[in-house]
Amino acid sequence: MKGAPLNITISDDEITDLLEQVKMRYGYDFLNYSKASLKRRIQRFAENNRFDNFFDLKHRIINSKGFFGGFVAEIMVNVTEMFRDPDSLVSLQQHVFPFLYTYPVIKIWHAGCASGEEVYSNVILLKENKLLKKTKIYATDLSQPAIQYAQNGSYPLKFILEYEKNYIHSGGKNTLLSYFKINHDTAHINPLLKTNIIFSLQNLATDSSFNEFNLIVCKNVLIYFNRELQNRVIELFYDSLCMFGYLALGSKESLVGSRLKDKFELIDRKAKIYRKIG
Amino acid sequence: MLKKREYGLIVIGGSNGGFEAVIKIIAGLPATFSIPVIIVLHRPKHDKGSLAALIQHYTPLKVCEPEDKEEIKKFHVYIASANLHLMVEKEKHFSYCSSGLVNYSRPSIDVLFETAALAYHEQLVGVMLSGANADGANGMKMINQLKGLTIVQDPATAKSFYMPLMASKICNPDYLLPVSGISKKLIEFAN
Repeated sequence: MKGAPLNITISDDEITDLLEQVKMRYGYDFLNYSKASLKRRIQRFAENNRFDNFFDLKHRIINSKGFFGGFVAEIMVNVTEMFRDPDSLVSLQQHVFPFLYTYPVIKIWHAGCASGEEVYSNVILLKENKLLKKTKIYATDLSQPAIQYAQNGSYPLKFILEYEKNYIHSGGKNTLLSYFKINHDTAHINPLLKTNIIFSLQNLATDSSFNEFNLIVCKNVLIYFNRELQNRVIELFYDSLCMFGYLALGSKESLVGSRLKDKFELIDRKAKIYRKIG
Repeated sequence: MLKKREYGLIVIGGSNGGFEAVIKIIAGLPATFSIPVIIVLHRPKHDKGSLAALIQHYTPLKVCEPEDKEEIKKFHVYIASANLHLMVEKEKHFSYCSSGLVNYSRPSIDVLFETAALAYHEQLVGVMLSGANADGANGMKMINQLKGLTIVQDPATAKSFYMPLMASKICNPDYLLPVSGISKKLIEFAN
């Protein structure tokens, strides 16, 4: 790594300038992301790519679409796991699945699906609860490489072995490995589990509602946004849920600061499961 | 002699041996201690908030894991939850991030310390406790550079000396103290 640490030499004004130019050039709007973490990730990206000044970095991002794609993929990386939070998945099966049974067709949106671990975790639980056949799942993310990765459904075998314990704690009825085909040190998800999933690009910061859902799962995505953008996205979720539809958020996320909090009922405080009631 | 100033936030980091040290420090703070405290301790990623409940036994101050975007309040001790990075925004509230491990850790002490330094500058106190990796050393350096105050547990008194040693090498701390001295110093700052 060359040059002085960038962390205190990138000013807030420079970050804002970069984000404004990115918005004009590519239509991606990061202006309402939480500043501290975004700044840290941009700095890290600069260091990893051996930039020793901010101007060069900005120049490259604005003038190379390919480079910009890599930039978005890297700074938006949300590192997750399968069956990450077993208690919340147990709660989902307890509180939400019984209502899903009552619908002839179930539509679920995984907003910000990243590399797909959470989507496949849910698909496995839906299958084990005999709900998968009548379910259509929309898995979206703003990063094309993430969507591609999720769609492939191939993970390092050692990770899958690590997730086995959480799978059991989440109420899993088989072995996690039984849903994968092993090829050397890679585990490929059973293609039958992909048939009900539609993967597509979607930007929560700029796009509008595209369907009506019985359940929206969006974990550890709102944490990246400032309050204003969080409000916008919660409104988008509200518009995209059917009456009495459910919303599942990440462990530290809530509707407390939202203008629409009275339109939702809290189903499980710890699991962060809400239901649209108004 | 350091200039008298008002401190707005205290950040504390530790790893192996850090828990015992944190308990002693927090137990040494009175109910009137108003400066908010944020603690990052390395721990297993599936820990479910029991750490906050445990520390609560030792203090009359309110101990909790903050929610995303929660405002940083006086008379509170905040514990970084397992498996997410905890950060401080300039608006003086919390935010989280689920990006990769930093120094093999999530939550990372560096991530909290660096963002807190950028938000609080000279009003920040950084405390580095016992531990066996280098997480936190860069954060302490940044606190120092941005004119905050740095306290490192005397490595000779730490269960694992590596973390305080790295931190003291890299940031040249304002104070090198045993745990008992750290609570006393913090109380001095609060008065």
